[in-house]
Amino acid sequence: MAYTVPGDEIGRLASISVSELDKTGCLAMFEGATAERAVTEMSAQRRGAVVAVDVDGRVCGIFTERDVLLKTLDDSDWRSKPLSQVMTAAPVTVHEDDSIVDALAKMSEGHFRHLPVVDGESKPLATISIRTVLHYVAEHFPDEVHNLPPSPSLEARRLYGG
Amino acid sequence: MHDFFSPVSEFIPSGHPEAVTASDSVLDAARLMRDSNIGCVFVEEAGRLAGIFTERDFLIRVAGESVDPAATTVGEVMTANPESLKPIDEIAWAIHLMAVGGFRNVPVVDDEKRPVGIVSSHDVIDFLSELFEGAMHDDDEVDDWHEIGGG
Repeated sequence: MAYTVPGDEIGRLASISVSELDKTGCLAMFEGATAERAVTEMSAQRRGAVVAVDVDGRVCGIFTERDVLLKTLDDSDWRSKPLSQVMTAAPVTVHEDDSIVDALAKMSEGHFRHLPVVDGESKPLATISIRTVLHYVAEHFPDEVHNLPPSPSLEARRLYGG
Repeated sequence: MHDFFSPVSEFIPSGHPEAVTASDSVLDAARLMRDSNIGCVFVEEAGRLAGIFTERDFLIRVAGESVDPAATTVGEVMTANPESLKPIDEIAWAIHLMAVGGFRNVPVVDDEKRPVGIVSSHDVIDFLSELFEGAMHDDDEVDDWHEIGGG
């Protein structure tokens, strides 16, 4: 089936900044906080990442679900360690004025699931996740993605009934 | 070039996905995920998909609850009976399940519920990035043509 992405939709996505994506802020903690506290907050708030900040409040690391698996599995002392010892330091970030397409490219190139959104002073404003981006994309392609029924079935497996 | 109608079979690597059983320990499953550099494993019973165990399950039900991975079975903390797709389903379905359902990994199974592969959110992001960059590049070419024509 021949299909092209509507050019005006691409243009819209390219011009919309990531700051319009997030409505829930982010989970940020001082890099000296314990890994246990970070895991407790991530679990309670159902967030896949904590953004670590330094004494000046600037982003200095990220601690993700992947890090939880990698850093806690064979380390019985992980709970008391500071975030700075278990986080990924100097993470790739997006600026609040960067476009959604910019964020997509960074996620694709680096295989990142979360990107901190920062202001001009590298202070965290939000965290955008793959789900946030996919939700936004789905809303902008309602015929292709958003208006599908809850799960595919034999009756409705073809998107256009063909 | 893929589009929203491309089947999910074109987005999954060949080979049987990594799998454990419900009676295996969480420690073994998590080590498999770590050593294989993957975000989840299938949980199979008699060769059929019974569940998946993901990094999120590990965060919320293992590390977040301070349970001992060596003394806990995968069956106690897995996501049972996850939403799945067939190989012929369009990638739009995977995007839909991820965006609306919040799933990061969508298992692909055959008609007998035997695991075939998994579509991850990374696969979808790679696809969308390729799609959008391709479309934007096409737009650039059109603009160039108009400039030439208008000169």
